[in-house]
Amino acid sequence: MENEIRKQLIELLRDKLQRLAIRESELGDKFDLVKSGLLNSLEFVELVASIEKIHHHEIDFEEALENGELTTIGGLIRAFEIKK
Amino acid sequence: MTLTPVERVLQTALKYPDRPALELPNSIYSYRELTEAAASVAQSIIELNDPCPFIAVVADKSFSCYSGILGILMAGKAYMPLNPRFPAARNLYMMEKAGIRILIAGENADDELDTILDSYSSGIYVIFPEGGTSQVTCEVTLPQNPAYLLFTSGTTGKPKGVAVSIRNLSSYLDFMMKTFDFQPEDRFTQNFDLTFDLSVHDLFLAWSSGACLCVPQDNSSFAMARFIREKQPTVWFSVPSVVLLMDRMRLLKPGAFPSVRLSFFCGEALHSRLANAWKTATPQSRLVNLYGPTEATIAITCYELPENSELWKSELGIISIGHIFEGNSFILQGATSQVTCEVGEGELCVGGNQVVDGYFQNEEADIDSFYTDPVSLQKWYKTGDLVKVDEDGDLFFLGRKDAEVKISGYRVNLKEIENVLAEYESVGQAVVILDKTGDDQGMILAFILEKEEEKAEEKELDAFCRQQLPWYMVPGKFIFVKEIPLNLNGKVDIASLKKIYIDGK
Repeated sequence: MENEIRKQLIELLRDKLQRLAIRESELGDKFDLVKSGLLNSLEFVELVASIEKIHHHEIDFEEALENGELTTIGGLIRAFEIKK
Repeated sequence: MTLTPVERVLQTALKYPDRPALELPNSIYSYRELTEAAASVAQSIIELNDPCPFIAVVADKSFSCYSGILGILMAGKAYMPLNPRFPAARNLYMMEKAGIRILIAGENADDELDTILDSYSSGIYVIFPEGGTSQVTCEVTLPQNPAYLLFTSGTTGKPKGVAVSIRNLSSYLDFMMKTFDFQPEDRFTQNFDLTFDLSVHDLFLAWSSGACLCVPQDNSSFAMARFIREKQPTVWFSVPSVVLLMDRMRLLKPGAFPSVRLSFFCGEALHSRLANAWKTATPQSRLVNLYGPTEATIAITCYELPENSELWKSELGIISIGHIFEGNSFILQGATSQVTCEVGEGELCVGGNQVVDGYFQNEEADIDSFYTDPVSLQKWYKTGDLVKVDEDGDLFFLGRKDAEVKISGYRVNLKEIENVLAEYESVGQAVVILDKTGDDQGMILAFILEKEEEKAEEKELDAFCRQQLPWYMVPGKFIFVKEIPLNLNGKVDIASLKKIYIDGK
Protein backbone atom coordinates (compact mmCIF):
# COMPACT_ATOMS: atom_id res chain seq x y z
CA MET A 1 0.00 0.00 0.00
CA GLU A 2 2.72 2.47 1.03
CA ASN A 3 4.80 1.86 -2.07
CA GLU A 4 1.72 1.97 -4.24
CA ILE A 5 0.70 5.42 -2.98
CA ARG A 6 4.27 6.69 -3.16
CA LYS A 7 4.46 5.60 -6.82
CA GLN A 8 1.12 7.25 -7.58
CA LEU A 9 2.25 10.45 -5.88
CA ILE A 10 5.44 10.59 -7.91
CA GLU A 11 3.55 9.94 -11.10
CA LEU A 12 1.06 12.71 -10.39
CA LEU A 13 3.85 15.10 -9.48
CA ARG A 14 6.22 14.13 -12.30
CA ASP A 15 5.75 17.34 -14.24
CA LYS A 16 6.33 19.56 -11.21
CA LEU A 17 9.31 17.55 -10.03
CA GLN A 18 10.98 17.83 -13.41
CA ARG A 19 10.36 21.54 -13.47
CA LEU A 20 12.03 22.11 -10.12
CA ALA A 21 14.69 19.48 -10.83
CA ILE A 22 13.76 17.49 -7.72
CA ARG A 23 14.93 13.89 -7.87
CA GLU A 24 12.69 11.06 -6.72
CA SER A 25 15.33 10.07 -4.19
CA GLU A 26 14.78 13.40 -2.42
CA LEU A 27 11.15 12.57 -1.73
CA GLY A 28 11.58 10.99 1.67
CA ASP A 29 8.79 10.70 4.22
CA LYS A 30 9.62 14.11 5.69
CA PHE A 31 9.52 15.95 2.37
CA ASP A 32 6.80 18.62 2.74
CA LEU A 33 4.94 19.09 -0.51
CA VAL A 34 3.60 22.53 0.45
CA LYS A 35 6.38 24.04 2.57
CA SER A 36 8.91 23.05 -0.11
CA GLY A 37 7.01 25.27 -2.56
CA LEU A 38 6.27 22.32 -4.83
CA LEU A 39 2.50 22.74 -4.42
CA ASN A 40 0.23 25.44 -3.10
CA SER A 41 -2.54 24.54 -0.66
CA LEU A 42 -5.21 24.10 -3.28
CA GLU A 43 -2.94 22.02 -5.52
CA PHE A 44 -2.21 19.79 -2.54
CA VAL A 45 -5.91 19.21 -1.92
CA GLU A 46 -6.35 18.46 -5.62
CA LEU A 47 -3.50 15.95 -5.41
CA VAL A 48 -5.28 14.24 -2.51
CA ALA A 49 -8.49 14.20 -4.56
CA SER A 50 -6.65 12.51 -7.45
CA ILE A 51 -5.35 9.75 -5.18
CA GLU A 52 -8.79 9.39 -3.61
CA LYS A 53 -10.22 8.89 -7.07
CA ILE A 54 -7.72 6.13 -7.85
CA HIS A 55 -8.54 4.33 -4.59
CA HIS A 56 -12.28 5.05 -4.70
CA HIS A 57 -12.44 6.41 -1.20
CA GLU A 58 -12.02 9.64 0.71
CA ILE A 59 -9.61 10.33 3.55
CA ASP A 60 -10.77 12.00 6.76
CA PHE A 61 -9.03 15.36 6.52
CA GLU A 62 -10.02 16.32 10.03
CA GLU A 63 -8.37 13.26 11.51
CA ALA A 64 -5.39 13.49 9.16
CA LEU A 65 -4.79 17.13 10.09
CA GLU A 66 -5.05 16.29 13.80
CA ASN A 67 -2.39 13.61 13.32
CA GLY A 68 -0.17 16.33 11.87
CA GLU A 69 2.21 16.58 8.95
CA LEU A 70 -0.46 15.75 6.39
CA THR A 71 1.40 17.73 3.76
CA THR A 72 4.51 15.55 4.04
CA ILE A 73 4.89 12.46 1.88
CA GLY A 74 4.87 10.25 4.98
CA GLY A 75 1.84 12.04 6.48
CA LEU A 76 -0.11 11.72 3.28
CA ILE A 77 0.66 8.02 2.93
CA ARG A 78 -0.39 7.48 6.56
CA ALA A 79 -3.70 9.25 5.93
CA PHE A 80 -4.51 6.74 3.20
CA GLU A 81 -3.31 3.77 5.22
CA ILE A 82 -5.59 4.70 8.12
CA LYS A 83 -8.54 4.87 5.78
CA LYS A 84 -7.73 1.46 4.37
CA MET B 1 -13.68 64.99 18.19
CA THR B 2 -12.75 61.79 16.39
CA LEU B 3 -10.09 59.78 18.16
CA THR B 4 -7.09 58.54 16.20
CA PRO B 5 -6.81 54.75 15.83
CA VAL B 6 -4.15 54.51 18.53
CA GLU B 7 -6.09 56.81 20.89
CA ARG B 8 -9.01 54.39 20.60
CA VAL B 9 -6.75 51.54 21.67
CA LEU B 10 -5.38 53.51 24.62
CA GLN B 11 -8.90 54.46 25.70
CA THR B 12 -9.91 50.79 25.56
CA ALA B 13 -6.84 49.86 27.57
CA LEU B 14 -7.84 52.32 30.30
CA LYS B 15 -11.31 50.81 30.39
CA TYR B 16 -10.29 47.14 30.28
CA PRO B 17 -6.64 47.01 31.42
CA ASP B 18 -6.76 43.37 32.47
CA ARG B 19 -8.81 41.96 29.63
CA PRO B 20 -6.90 39.88 27.06
CA ALA B 21 -5.87 41.99 24.05
CA LEU B 22 -3.69 39.54 22.19
CA GLU B 23 -3.65 35.76 22.21
CA LEU B 24 -0.59 34.28 20.55
CA PRO B 25 -0.29 30.50 20.19
CA ASN B 26 1.49 30.11 23.54
CA SER B 27 0.80 33.30 25.44
CA ILE B 28 -1.89 35.83 26.25
CA TYR B 29 -1.25 39.55 26.80
CA SER B 30 -3.59 42.00 28.52
CA TYR B 31 -4.34 45.50 27.31
CA ARG B 32 -2.08 46.82 30.06
CA GLU B 33 0.83 44.65 28.95
CA LEU B 34 0.33 45.49 25.29
CA THR B 35 0.10 49.25 25.71
CA GLU B 36 2.93 49.45 28.25
CA ALA B 37 5.23 47.56 25.88
CA ALA B 38 4.09 49.82 23.05
CA ALA B 39 4.80 52.91 25.15
CA SER B 40 8.34 51.70 25.68
CA VAL B 41 8.79 51.34 21.90
CA ALA B 42 7.32 54.82 21.41
CA GLN B 43 9.79 56.29 23.90
CA SER B 44 12.73 54.70 22.06
CA ILE B 45 11.48 56.09 18.76
CA ILE B 46 10.96 59.59 20.13
CA GLU B 47 14.46 59.60 21.64
CA LEU B 48 15.98 58.85 18.21
CA ASN B 49 14.32 62.01 16.84
CA ASP B 50 14.46 60.77 13.24
CA PRO B 51 12.55 62.88 10.69
CA CYS B 52 11.34 59.98 8.48
CA PRO B 53 7.57 59.56 9.00
CA PHE B 54 7.76 55.78 8.43
CA ILE B 55 9.17 53.09 10.66
CA ALA B 56 9.59 49.53 9.47
CA VAL B 57 8.55 46.56 11.56
CA VAL B 58 9.40 42.92 10.92
CA ALA B 59 5.87 41.56 10.64
CA ASP B 60 6.38 38.15 12.18
CA LYS B 61 3.23 38.26 14.33
CA SER B 62 5.20 38.20 17.56
CA PHE B 63 4.36 40.25 20.65
CA SER B 64 7.23 42.58 19.69
CA CYS B 65 5.68 43.09 16.28
CA TYR B 66 2.18 43.96 17.58
CA SER B 67 3.47 46.18 20.39
CA GLY B 68 5.88 47.67 17.85
CA ILE B 69 3.04 48.68 15.54
CA LEU B 70 1.17 50.36 18.39
CA GLY B 71 4.38 51.99 19.63
CA ILE B 72 5.11 53.43 16.20
CA LEU B 73 1.65 55.00 16.09
CA MET B 74 1.97 56.26 19.67
CA ALA B 75 5.18 58.01 18.63
CA GLY B 76 3.23 59.83 15.92
CA LYS B 77 4.80 57.79 13.10
CA ALA B 78 3.41 55.40 10.49
CA TYR B 79 4.30 51.71 10.34
CA MET B 80 5.57 49.87 7.30
CA PRO B 81 5.45 46.07 7.72
CA LEU B 82 8.16 43.88 6.21
CA ASN B 83 6.99 40.39 5.36
CA PRO B 84 9.47 37.70 6.46
CA ARG B 85 8.04 35.49 3.69
CA PHE B 86 8.80 38.04 0.96
CA PRO B 87 12.09 37.85 -0.95
CA ALA B 88 14.71 40.08 0.69
CA ALA B 89 14.92 42.13 -2.52
CA ARG B 90 11.28 43.16 -2.19
CA ASN B 91 11.55 44.10 1.49
CA LEU B 92 14.69 46.10 0.72
CA TYR B 93 13.01 47.90 -2.17
CA MET B 94 10.16 48.96 0.14
CA MET B 95 12.62 50.20 2.78
CA GLU B 96 14.69 52.16 0.28
CA LYS B 97 11.59 53.69 -1.24
CA ALA B 98 10.27 54.83 2.15
CA GLY B 99 13.70 56.05 3.32
CA ILE B 100 13.48 53.93 6.45
CA ARG B 101 15.96 54.79 9.23
CA ILE B 102 14.37 52.90 12.13
CA LEU B 103 13.37 49.24 12.20
CA ILE B 104 11.51 47.33 14.95
CA ALA B 105 12.45 43.68 15.15
CA GLY B 106 11.20 40.90 17.38
CA GLU B 107 13.18 38.19 19.10
CA ASN B 108 12.77 35.75 16.20
CA ALA B 109 13.73 38.08 13.37
CA ASP B 110 17.43 37.20 13.18
CA ASP B 111 17.52 35.85 9.62
CA GLU B 112 15.54 38.71 8.09
CA LEU B 113 17.56 41.24 10.03
CA ASP B 114 20.90 39.89 8.87
CA THR B 115 19.90 40.09 5.23
CA ILE B 116 18.44 43.56 5.61
CA LEU B 117 21.33 45.01 7.60
CA ASP B 118 23.87 43.54 5.18
CA SER B 119 22.25 44.97 2.08
CA TYR B 120 20.58 48.21 3.13
CA SER B 121 22.22 51.27 1.63
CA SER B 122 21.68 53.67 4.54
CA GLY B 123 22.41 53.55 8.23
CA ILE B 124 19.60 52.14 10.31
CA TYR B 125 18.62 52.00 13.98
CA VAL B 126 17.16 48.70 15.14
CA ILE B 127 14.86 48.66 18.17
CA PHE B 128 14.34 45.34 19.92
CA PRO B 129 11.26 45.89 22.08
CA GLU B 130 11.74 44.68 25.63
CA GLY B 131 9.95 45.41 28.87
CA GLY B 132 7.37 48.11 29.26
CA THR B 133 6.76 51.46 30.85
CA SER B 134 3.76 52.63 32.79
CA GLN B 135 4.04 56.09 31.21
CA VAL B 136 1.61 55.45 28.41
CA THR B 137 1.20 58.61 26.37
CA CYS B 138 0.63 59.45 22.76
CA GLU B 139 2.28 62.04 20.51
CA VAL B 140 -0.05 64.49 18.80
CA THR B 141 -0.60 63.52 15.18
CA LEU B 142 -2.54 65.23 12.40
CA PRO B 143 -5.38 63.53 10.46
CA GLN B 144 -3.48 63.89 7.20
CA ASN B 145 -0.41 62.12 8.58
CA PRO B 146 0.13 58.53 7.43
CA ALA B 147 -0.89 55.63 9.67
CA TYR B 148 0.67 52.86 7.61
CA LEU B 149 2.47 52.34 4.33
CA LEU B 150 1.81 49.21 2.28
CA PHE B 151 2.91 48.18 -1.19
CA THR B 152 0.71 46.63 -3.86
CA SER B 153 1.54 44.99 -7.15
CA GLY B 154 2.25 47.46 -9.97
CA THR B 155 2.54 47.28 -13.74
CA THR B 156 6.17 48.39 -13.95
CA GLY B 157 7.84 45.46 -12.22
CA LYS B 158 8.04 47.34 -8.92
CA PRO B 159 5.33 47.50 -6.24
CA LYS B 160 3.44 50.76 -5.64
CA GLY B 161 3.34 52.35 -2.19
CA VAL B 162 0.03 53.32 -0.62
CA ALA B 163 0.24 55.55 2.45
CA VAL B 164 -3.07 55.43 4.31
CA SER B 165 -3.67 58.44 6.55
CA ILE B 166 -5.02 58.66 10.07
CA ARG B 167 -8.15 60.29 8.60
CA ASN B 168 -8.64 57.45 6.08
CA LEU B 169 -8.32 54.79 8.77
CA SER B 170 -10.46 56.64 11.33
CA SER B 171 -13.24 56.94 8.80
CA TYR B 172 -13.19 53.16 8.21
CA LEU B 173 -13.15 52.40 11.93
CA ASP B 174 -15.99 54.87 12.59
CA PHE B 175 -18.23 53.19 10.04
CA MET B 176 -17.47 49.64 11.15
CA MET B 177 -17.85 50.39 14.87
CA LYS B 178 -21.18 52.06 14.22
CA THR B 179 -22.48 49.32 11.93
CA PHE B 180 -21.45 46.17 13.78
CA ASP B 181 -21.91 45.49 17.47
CA PHE B 182 -18.40 44.42 18.43
CA GLN B 183 -18.17 43.51 22.11
CA PRO B 184 -15.35 43.21 24.66
CA GLU B 185 -16.15 39.50 24.84
CA ASP B 186 -15.45 39.09 21.12
CA ARG B 187 -12.50 37.13 19.85
CA PHE B 188 -11.21 38.30 16.47
CA THR B 189 -9.25 36.11 14.09
CA GLN B 190 -5.98 37.41 12.65
CA ASN B 191 -5.58 35.33 9.53
CA PHE B 192 -3.84 37.88 7.33
CA ASP B 193 -0.20 38.72 6.91
CA LEU B 194 0.43 42.20 8.27
CA THR B 195 1.51 43.33 4.79
CA PHE B 196 -2.09 42.72 3.69
CA ASP B 197 -4.28 45.70 4.64
CA LEU B 198 -7.14 43.49 5.78
CA SER B 199 -5.02 42.80 8.88
CA VAL B 200 -5.57 46.43 9.91
CA HIS B 201 -9.29 45.67 10.29
CA ASP B 202 -8.52 42.86 12.76
CA LEU B 203 -6.08 44.85 14.87
CA PHE B 204 -7.93 48.11 15.26
CA LEU B 205 -11.51 46.87 15.44
CA ALA B 206 -10.58 44.27 18.07
CA TRP B 207 -8.57 46.77 20.09
CA SER B 208 -11.18 49.52 19.76
CA SER B 209 -13.78 47.17 21.22
CA GLY B 210 -11.87 45.69 24.15
CA ALA B 211 -11.89 42.36 22.31
CA CYS B 212 -9.09 39.82 21.98
CA LEU B 213 -7.07 39.32 18.80
CA CYS B 214 -6.36 35.61 18.26
CA VAL B 215 -3.34 34.78 16.13
CA PRO B 216 -3.07 31.28 14.62
CA GLN B 217 0.12 29.32 15.15
CA ASP B 218 0.29 28.26 11.59
CA ASN B 219 -0.68 30.70 8.88
CA SER B 220 -1.52 27.84 6.56
CA SER B 221 -5.12 27.29 5.62
CA PHE B 222 -4.70 23.66 6.71
CA ALA B 223 -4.57 24.77 10.33
CA MET B 224 -7.69 26.94 10.24
CA ALA B 225 -10.34 24.40 11.26
CA ARG B 226 -8.33 23.32 14.28
CA PHE B 227 -7.61 26.97 15.13
CA ILE B 228 -11.34 27.75 15.18
CA ARG B 229 -12.17 24.73 17.30
CA GLU B 230 -9.43 25.50 19.82
CA LYS B 231 -9.58 29.29 20.02
CA GLN B 232 -13.35 29.71 19.57
CA PRO B 233 -13.27 33.01 17.66
CA THR B 234 -16.50 34.98 17.46
CA VAL B 235 -15.48 37.35 14.65
CA TRP B 236 -14.05 35.69 11.55
CA PHE B 237 -12.32 37.51 8.70
CA SER B 238 -10.66 35.87 5.71
CA VAL B 239 -10.47 35.82 1.97
CA PRO B 240 -12.94 33.34 0.42
CA SER B 241 -10.02 31.09 -0.68
CA VAL B 242 -9.44 30.00 2.91
CA VAL B 243 -13.03 28.82 3.14
CA LEU B 244 -12.81 27.22 -0.30
CA LEU B 245 -9.91 25.10 0.90
CA MET B 246 -11.78 24.06 4.04
CA ASP B 247 -14.76 23.17 1.86
CA ARG B 248 -12.60 21.05 -0.45
CA MET B 249 -11.29 19.23 2.63
CA ARG B 250 -14.90 18.53 3.71
CA LEU B 251 -14.34 20.44 6.96
CA LEU B 252 -17.43 22.66 6.70
CA LYS B 253 -19.77 20.21 8.40
CA PRO B 254 -23.13 21.44 9.70
CA GLY B 255 -22.61 23.41 12.90
CA ALA B 256 -18.85 22.75 12.89
CA PHE B 257 -17.94 26.21 14.16
CA PRO B 258 -20.71 27.43 16.50
CA SER B 259 -18.57 30.12 18.18
CA VAL B 260 -18.52 32.37 15.10
CA ARG B 261 -21.22 35.06 15.26
CA LEU B 262 -19.91 37.48 12.63
CA SER B 263 -18.05 36.52 9.44
CA PHE B 264 -16.39 39.01 7.12
CA PHE B 265 -15.08 38.20 3.67
CA CYS B 266 -13.03 40.45 1.43
CA GLY B 267 -10.24 40.37 -1.13
CA GLU B 268 -11.88 38.12 -3.71
CA ALA B 269 -15.25 37.47 -5.28
CA LEU B 270 -17.47 35.56 -2.85
CA HIS B 271 -19.41 32.81 -4.59
CA SER B 272 -22.87 32.10 -3.21
CA ARG B 273 -22.15 28.36 -3.12
CA LEU B 274 -19.19 29.00 -0.83
CA ALA B 275 -21.14 31.46 1.35
CA ASN B 276 -23.78 28.75 1.77
CA ALA B 277 -21.19 26.19 2.79
CA TRP B 278 -19.74 28.59 5.38
CA LYS B 279 -23.21 29.44 6.71
CA THR B 280 -23.84 25.72 7.21
CA ALA B 281 -20.68 25.42 9.31
CA THR B 282 -21.34 28.66 11.24
CA PRO B 283 -25.13 28.67 11.75
CA GLN B 284 -25.01 31.48 14.37
CA SER B 285 -23.07 33.78 12.11
CA ARG B 286 -24.06 36.90 10.22
CA LEU B 287 -22.21 36.97 6.89
CA VAL B 288 -20.80 40.21 5.50
CA ASN B 289 -19.17 40.61 2.11
CA LEU B 290 -16.72 43.54 2.01
CA TYR B 291 -15.05 45.12 -0.99
CA GLY B 292 -12.23 47.61 -1.25
CA PRO B 293 -8.79 48.22 -2.68
CA THR B 294 -5.87 49.22 -0.44
CA GLU B 295 -6.16 52.74 -1.89
CA ALA B 296 -9.63 53.02 -0.30
CA THR B 297 -8.54 51.78 3.16
CA ILE B 298 -9.37 48.13 3.78
CA ALA B 299 -12.96 48.10 2.47
CA ILE B 300 -15.33 50.73 1.19
CA THR B 301 -18.52 48.81 0.39
CA CYS B 302 -20.35 46.07 2.22
CA TYR B 303 -23.26 43.72 1.79
CA GLU B 304 -24.73 41.83 4.69
CA LEU B 305 -26.24 38.58 3.47
CA PRO B 306 -29.84 38.15 4.69
CA GLU B 307 -30.51 35.21 7.01
CA ASN B 308 -32.61 33.57 4.29
CA SER B 309 -30.20 32.50 1.56
CA GLU B 310 -32.94 32.74 -1.06
CA LEU B 311 -32.80 36.51 -0.62
CA TRP B 312 -29.06 36.78 -1.24
CA LYS B 313 -28.26 39.13 -4.08
CA SER B 314 -25.80 37.78 -6.61
CA GLU B 315 -24.73 38.12 -10.22
CA LEU B 316 -23.54 34.97 -12.03
CA GLY B 317 -23.22 33.27 -8.65
CA ILE B 318 -21.08 36.03 -7.14
CA ILE B 319 -22.47 37.75 -4.05
CA SER B 320 -23.13 41.50 -4.25
CA ILE B 321 -20.57 43.87 -2.74
CA GLY B 322 -23.43 46.08 -1.53
CA HIS B 323 -23.44 49.78 -0.74
CA ILE B 324 -20.63 52.27 -0.34
CA PHE B 325 -19.71 53.34 3.20
CA GLU B 326 -20.90 56.62 4.66
CA GLY B 327 -18.50 59.51 4.02
CA ASN B 328 -17.57 58.12 0.61
CA SER B 329 -19.19 58.08 -2.80
CA PHE B 330 -18.77 56.49 -6.19
CA ILE B 331 -19.29 57.05 -9.88
CA LEU B 332 -19.10 54.69 -12.82
CA GLN B 333 -16.86 55.45 -15.71
CA GLY B 334 -18.11 54.11 -19.03
CA ALA B 335 -16.12 52.64 -21.89
CA THR B 336 -16.33 55.93 -23.78
CA SER B 337 -14.58 57.69 -20.91
CA GLN B 338 -17.70 59.67 -20.13
CA VAL B 339 -18.44 59.75 -16.48
CA THR B 340 -21.92 58.61 -15.61
CA CYS B 341 -23.59 58.70 -12.25
CA GLU B 342 -24.62 55.70 -10.21
CA VAL B 343 -26.44 53.74 -12.91
CA GLY B 344 -25.75 50.75 -15.08
CA GLU B 345 -22.30 49.27 -15.58
CA GLY B 346 -18.79 50.67 -15.74
CA GLU B 347 -15.48 51.08 -13.96
CA LEU B 348 -15.98 51.81 -10.29
CA CYS B 349 -14.39 55.08 -9.18
CA VAL B 350 -14.47 55.89 -5.48
CA GLY B 351 -13.85 59.10 -3.56
CA GLY B 352 -14.23 60.44 -0.03
CA ASN B 353 -12.81 60.12 3.47
CA GLN B 354 -11.28 56.69 3.00
CA VAL B 355 -9.59 57.25 -0.34
CA VAL B 356 -5.89 58.16 -0.33
CA ASP B 357 -4.70 61.26 -2.18
CA GLY B 358 -2.37 59.32 -4.44
CA TYR B 359 0.40 56.75 -4.50
CA PHE B 360 3.51 57.22 -2.44
CA GLN B 361 6.03 59.13 -4.57
CA ASN B 362 4.69 57.77 -7.83
CA GLU B 363 3.21 60.48 -10.04
CA GLU B 364 3.08 58.24 -13.09
CA ALA B 365 0.80 55.78 -11.30
CA ASP B 366 -1.27 58.71 -9.93
CA ILE B 367 -1.99 59.91 -13.46
CA ASP B 368 -3.20 56.45 -14.43
CA SER B 369 -5.33 55.80 -11.37
CA PHE B 370 -6.55 59.10 -9.92
CA TYR B 371 -8.85 61.65 -11.49
CA THR B 372 -9.94 65.06 -10.21
CA ASP B 373 -13.29 66.35 -11.40
CA PRO B 374 -12.58 69.80 -12.85
CA VAL B 375 -15.89 71.22 -11.65
CA SER B 376 -16.44 69.74 -8.21
CA LEU B 377 -12.69 69.22 -7.54
CA GLN B 378 -13.64 65.84 -6.10
CA LYS B 379 -10.81 63.34 -6.39
CA TRP B 380 -11.68 59.84 -7.62
CA TYR B 381 -9.66 56.67 -7.47
CA LYS B 382 -10.23 54.52 -10.55
CA THR B 383 -10.33 51.01 -9.11
CA GLY B 384 -10.03 49.15 -12.42
CA ASP B 385 -12.94 47.00 -11.24
CA LEU B 386 -15.94 46.70 -13.50
CA VAL B 387 -19.21 46.73 -11.60
CA LYS B 388 -22.91 47.11 -12.13
CA VAL B 389 -25.42 48.84 -9.90
CA ASP B 390 -28.97 47.57 -9.47
CA GLU B 391 -32.11 49.57 -8.80
CA ASP B 392 -31.52 49.39 -5.01
CA GLY B 393 -28.04 50.86 -5.39
CA ASP B 394 -26.33 47.55 -4.63
CA LEU B 395 -23.03 47.02 -6.44
CA PHE B 396 -21.99 43.80 -8.19
CA PHE B 397 -18.42 42.94 -9.15
CA LEU B 398 -18.17 41.88 -12.81
CA GLY B 399 -14.42 41.64 -13.44
CA ARG B 400 -11.27 43.65 -14.11
CA LYS B 401 -10.53 46.03 -16.94
CA ASP B 402 -6.76 45.42 -16.81
CA ALA B 403 -4.18 42.73 -16.14
CA GLU B 404 -4.76 42.65 -12.40
CA VAL B 405 -5.92 39.39 -10.83
CA LYS B 406 -6.40 38.10 -7.31
CA ILE B 407 -4.47 35.15 -5.91
CA SER B 408 -5.66 34.16 -2.42
CA GLY B 409 -6.87 37.73 -2.04
CA TYR B 410 -3.52 39.28 -2.97
CA ARG B 411 -3.56 41.77 -5.82
CA VAL B 412 -1.31 40.59 -8.60
CA ASN B 413 -0.63 42.66 -11.67
CA LEU B 414 0.39 40.18 -14.36
CA LYS B 415 2.42 42.93 -16.05
CA GLU B 416 4.66 43.08 -12.99
CA ILE B 417 5.50 39.39 -13.44
CA GLU B 418 6.10 39.91 -17.17
CA ASN B 419 8.48 42.77 -16.41
CA VAL B 420 10.40 40.71 -13.88
CA LEU B 421 10.71 37.81 -16.36
CA ALA B 422 11.85 40.18 -19.09
CA GLU B 423 14.83 41.06 -16.91
CA TYR B 424 16.07 37.48 -17.17
CA GLU B 425 18.89 37.41 -19.71
CA SER B 426 17.65 34.66 -22.03
CA VAL B 427 14.00 35.80 -22.07
CA GLY B 428 13.03 37.65 -25.23
CA GLN B 429 9.38 38.17 -24.32
CA ALA B 430 7.12 36.92 -21.56
CA VAL B 431 3.34 36.88 -21.50
CA VAL B 432 1.67 36.00 -18.23
CA ILE B 433 -1.96 34.98 -17.85
CA LEU B 434 -4.15 33.47 -15.16
CA ASP B 435 -5.73 30.13 -16.02
CA LYS B 436 -8.86 30.12 -13.92
CA THR B 437 -12.18 28.34 -13.93
CA GLY B 438 -15.11 28.65 -11.49
CA ASP B 439 -14.28 29.52 -7.89
CA ASP B 440 -10.75 28.10 -8.12
CA GLN B 441 -7.96 30.56 -7.45
CA GLY B 442 -6.36 29.50 -10.73
CA MET B 443 -2.76 29.10 -11.85
CA ILE B 444 -0.40 31.73 -13.20
CA LEU B 445 1.00 30.64 -16.57
CA ALA B 446 4.09 32.28 -18.04
CA PHE B 447 4.63 31.91 -21.80
CA ILE B 448 8.27 32.43 -22.62
CA LEU B 449 9.77 33.36 -25.96
CA GLU B 450 13.51 32.85 -25.67
CA LYS B 451 16.09 35.12 -27.25
CA GLU B 452 17.77 33.71 -30.33
CA GLU B 453 20.43 31.14 -29.53
CA GLU B 454 19.76 31.46 -25.84
CA LYS B 455 18.10 28.87 -23.66
CA ALA B 456 16.12 29.44 -20.49
CA GLU B 457 15.64 26.60 -18.04
CA GLU B 458 12.36 26.28 -16.19
CA LYS B 459 14.11 25.66 -12.90
CA GLU B 460 16.25 28.79 -13.28
CA LEU B 461 13.29 30.95 -14.21
CA ASP B 462 11.40 29.64 -11.20
CA ALA B 463 14.34 30.44 -8.92
CA PHE B 464 14.75 33.89 -10.48
CA CYS B 465 11.09 34.69 -9.85
CA ARG B 466 11.32 33.49 -6.26
CA GLN B 467 14.19 35.94 -5.66
CA GLN B 468 12.15 38.86 -6.97
CA LEU B 469 8.50 38.14 -6.29
CA PRO B 470 6.36 37.03 -3.34
CA TRP B 471 5.42 33.34 -3.41
CA TYR B 472 1.88 34.03 -4.64
CA MET B 473 3.21 35.77 -7.77
CA VAL B 474 5.55 33.00 -8.92
CA PRO B 475 4.10 31.34 -12.06
CA GLY B 476 2.87 27.80 -11.55
CA LYS B 477 4.04 26.85 -15.02
CA PHE B 478 6.49 28.15 -17.61
CA ILE B 479 5.62 27.30 -21.19
CA PHE B 480 8.20 27.86 -23.90
CA VAL B 481 6.79 28.99 -27.23
CA LYS B 482 8.32 29.58 -30.65
CA GLU B 483 6.27 32.73 -31.14
CA ILE B 484 3.76 34.83 -29.24
CA PRO B 485 0.48 34.62 -31.21
CA LEU B 486 -1.21 37.93 -32.03
CA ASN B 487 -4.85 38.59 -32.91
CA LEU B 488 -6.09 40.72 -35.81
CA ASN B 489 -5.63 43.88 -33.76
CA GLY B 490 -1.99 43.04 -33.18
CA LYS B 491 -2.60 42.26 -29.49
CA VAL B 492 -1.43 39.11 -27.75
CA ASP B 493 -3.93 36.36 -28.52
CA ILE B 494 -4.71 35.00 -25.06
CA ALA B 495 -7.12 32.35 -26.38
CA SER B 496 -4.39 30.87 -28.60
CA LEU B 497 -1.95 30.84 -25.70
CA LYS B 498 -4.46 28.99 -23.53
CA LYS B 499 -4.92 26.49 -26.35
CA ILE B 500 -1.15 25.94 -26.50
CA TYR B 501 -1.22 25.21 -22.77
CA ILE B 502 -4.22 22.86 -22.96
CA ASP B 503 -2.81 21.01 -25.99
CA GLY B 504 0.51 20.55 -24.25
CA LYS B 505 -1.00 19.12 -21.04
